Amino acid sequence: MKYDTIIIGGSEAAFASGLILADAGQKVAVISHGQTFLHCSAASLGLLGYDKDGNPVHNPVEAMAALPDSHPYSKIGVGRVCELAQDVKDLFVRSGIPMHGSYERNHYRMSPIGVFKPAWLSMDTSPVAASPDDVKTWGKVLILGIEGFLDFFAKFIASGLGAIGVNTEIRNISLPELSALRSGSTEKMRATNIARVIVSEKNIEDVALRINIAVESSHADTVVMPAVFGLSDPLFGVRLQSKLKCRLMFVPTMPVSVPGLCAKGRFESRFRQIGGTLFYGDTVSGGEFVDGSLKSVRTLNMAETALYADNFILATGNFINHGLVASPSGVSEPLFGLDIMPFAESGFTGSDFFSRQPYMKCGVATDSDFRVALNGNMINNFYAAGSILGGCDTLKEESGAGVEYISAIAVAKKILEKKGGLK
Amino acid sequence: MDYFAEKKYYDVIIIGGGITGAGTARDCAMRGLKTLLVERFDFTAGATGRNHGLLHSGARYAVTDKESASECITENMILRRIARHCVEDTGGLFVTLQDDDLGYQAKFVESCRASGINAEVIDPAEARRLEPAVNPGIIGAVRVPDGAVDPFRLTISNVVDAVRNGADVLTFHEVQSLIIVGGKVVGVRMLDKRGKREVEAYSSLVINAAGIWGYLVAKKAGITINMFPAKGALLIFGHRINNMVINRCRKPADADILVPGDTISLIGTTSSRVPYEDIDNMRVTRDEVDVLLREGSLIAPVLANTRIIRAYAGVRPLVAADNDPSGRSISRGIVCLDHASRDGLDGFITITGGKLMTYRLMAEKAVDMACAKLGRNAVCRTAETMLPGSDDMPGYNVKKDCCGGLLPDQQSAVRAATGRHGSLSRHIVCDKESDRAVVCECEQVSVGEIRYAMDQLHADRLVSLRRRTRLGMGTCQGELCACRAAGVMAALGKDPVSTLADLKSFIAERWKGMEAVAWGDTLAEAQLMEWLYVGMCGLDRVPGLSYSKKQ
Repeated sequence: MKYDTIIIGGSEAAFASGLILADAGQKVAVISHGQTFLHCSAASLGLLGYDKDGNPVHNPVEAMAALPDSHPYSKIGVGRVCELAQDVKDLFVRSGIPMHGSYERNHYRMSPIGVFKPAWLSMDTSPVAASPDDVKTWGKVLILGIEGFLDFFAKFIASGLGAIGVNTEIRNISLPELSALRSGSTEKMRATNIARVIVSEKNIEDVALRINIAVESSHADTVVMPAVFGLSDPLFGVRLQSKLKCRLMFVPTMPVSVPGLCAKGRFESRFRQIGGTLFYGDTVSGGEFVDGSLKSVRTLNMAETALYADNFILATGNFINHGLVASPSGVSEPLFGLDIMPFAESGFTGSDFFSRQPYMKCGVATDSDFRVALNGNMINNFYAAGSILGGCDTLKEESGAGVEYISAIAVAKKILEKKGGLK
Repeated sequence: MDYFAEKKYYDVIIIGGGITGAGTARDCAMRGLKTLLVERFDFTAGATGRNHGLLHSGARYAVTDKESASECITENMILRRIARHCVEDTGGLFVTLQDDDLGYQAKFVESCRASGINAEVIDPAEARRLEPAVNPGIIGAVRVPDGAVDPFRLTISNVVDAVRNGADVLTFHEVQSLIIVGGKVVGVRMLDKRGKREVEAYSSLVINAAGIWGYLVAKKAGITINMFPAKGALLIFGHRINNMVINRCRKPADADILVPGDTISLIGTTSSRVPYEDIDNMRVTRDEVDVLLREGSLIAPVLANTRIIRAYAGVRPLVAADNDPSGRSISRGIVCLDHASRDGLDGFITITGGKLMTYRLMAEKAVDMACAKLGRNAVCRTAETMLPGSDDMPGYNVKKDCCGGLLPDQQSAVRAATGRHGSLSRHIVCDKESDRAVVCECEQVSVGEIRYAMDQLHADRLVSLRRRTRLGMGTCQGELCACRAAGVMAALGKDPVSTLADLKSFIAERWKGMEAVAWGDTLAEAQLMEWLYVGMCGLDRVPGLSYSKKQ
């Protein structure tokens, strides 16, 4: 089988590059063992939230100038990052997920435990404000939990909001539709299970009624609820909002989160719609390298069939996704044994969990076009994208989503710019 | 009401909330002494919570230390009876590997029998059948009555019984000094770590049961006990590999015991002297991990490819004889010191040495001495009296009465809670819908069980909840349920800011156990944990949060 581009991995970078390439008319396949959409779990994406001293960044573009050369943004170039940032927003919009925000000015999102963190793009009904001080415009906030649902931390949110002078009240509503989950021994009261139950127009009416009753008696201006609705409908929140007497905000839960799963579903179905091929539950078992190029790959499920392509993208993620694997003797890339970026840090781990962890910067070795290398030789048609690039501490910087999506689109566009790449 | 509003007088104050202190408090209270148990952190925070959880048959000591071996088998049989909800009768094997001396086996079996330990030589093929995880190349096997014991459950059960018999207990109270009047200890001065104040309590007698920290307690009274902190490192594996305890049949050495415990397996230990300055902050080194993995894989080859979820270390309180300051003739036996005759300081007893297995006997010796000094004539009944959780209540039906309110299709939560708390599980109330929600899926801990642990088992922190309920002890190590449990604690009335500080400490402590084994799936989990708590939640950015790395 022959493709224009084969993408290995199930990360958000894999889908982002896949969508760009397929949109441009390429024949694209994604081979993935499993999928993770961690960045979308928060319902907000970060571009660059904190500088190297940990201070919040107001203008990401300005702050990028201070990043070291090893940073993926520096490799792409700040001007180009800004262009691609716009593409990321478009990518979501085309997949049916409206995103709000600007790469020139961060806004703030409220985390599941009531902490405000800088953000670049946020989904509809995300709990966001222009600045932490601006949260006061939310007015009185009703923090509304769901009886039996434990992944919503009402007290922490109240404490976080209270610290910035916002008046709050905590209540619970009981949804009779969920009684099966409450007593069930296998299907628990988790966000995605609730979202599978609450889907119909009648469900929305019922939920809206209960919220309105609670809002009325509490005289709240804003209601904050766990993000447990709209698994396959990114506009569920907007529809619910239209039936409410106050502003509605959904606080994302810990993964697997509903916004994350919803985005994944949207990307997947659109990728299929525009002709992309998905090989799920399969793992690449090796590749055939000829004259500095990757000719084909083989997989465990299709052992007899080599999959050929003009270009390949490795988007298997970092340690979390097993795109990188550490052993007592060092770090490796498990599928091809690609070269790893020299490790400049003094130790691999830090004893204080909440300080910087050096291992966060691990990644595969690449050139400035993100082409990977094997045994010291650059592979001219094999690119890396997303968190496997390493080179920065995306968690301390709040830049994980930006690096994930922007590097993926950068690589996809690089492939399209190649002679004969665009069909 | 302020507990210290009026002066508090006791017959006995016991320092140390490990198994020895808890057992001593129970024994004192059962003999009718007015008792106070004081612990500077939470129960089981020291060596009690950092060992193998091995219900020794005594076989390990049979060749080298007959006295310890006899004590172990006697206590083994007692614990099986009085603490059956804390004990799992796994049975044990002592296996001889190809490179080991099979000649040792005969001496071993003979020594076991001399100490009253039922050691039965079996065919290696039979051993492989009984325990498929054992190295298939073994050339000899002996079956012994080893088992697994949960030190957390055992300790808290002793505490519960002490309280039932009238004892007072204080956690997070650190003894600052002993109050000495006219050459006699008459009480203790404590720092209340929560209220941040000094408080005092008075007694006729103080019993120092603080394990290795007992050295520092005695020092406060100007007394030197010739103790040597011996670090023992262990590894926890991500699932239960073996059903029986597997020991190596040779002279006791590093990493030669593999113990199953609930859902996991443990390999240990190493043994190395450490300075006193380090005993509050034990970190497992890479070298220790290497030894444990290398030697452990010889006993059960599957260990080499099994995920390690945590490395940890405890400190044994080894005591040298008073006439041996160099510590050459170290004993693992029980040491009970009357400081009146030894040091001329009246009203002060130290009980130390020994081991988890012999805690009850240690308590008995200490309380015998205490009764003699106090002129009380009361007999020890701890060997016959069932511990709370192991006692049958008349008319009590596990299925019907336990975890009141859990629904018929929540049997896994009922079974888990009954397994953990035995007949005490009848105090878990889940009659409200919100109490039935499951917080920790690996270990099936419900909101009702958390409420019970908070209200009745002195648990007001996540780490205490882990010790009381196994929350976060399973394969996921509390990745998601720690946050969930913190939310539940806050919803049940704990202050949200201190609960978040507690969550932060819990995560930091978890990393401490992962760092030495930060590769493979463990590093992947660590990165996910950082992604969740730093990236998504911003736990590192909660304003005004101070957290401690020592719990």
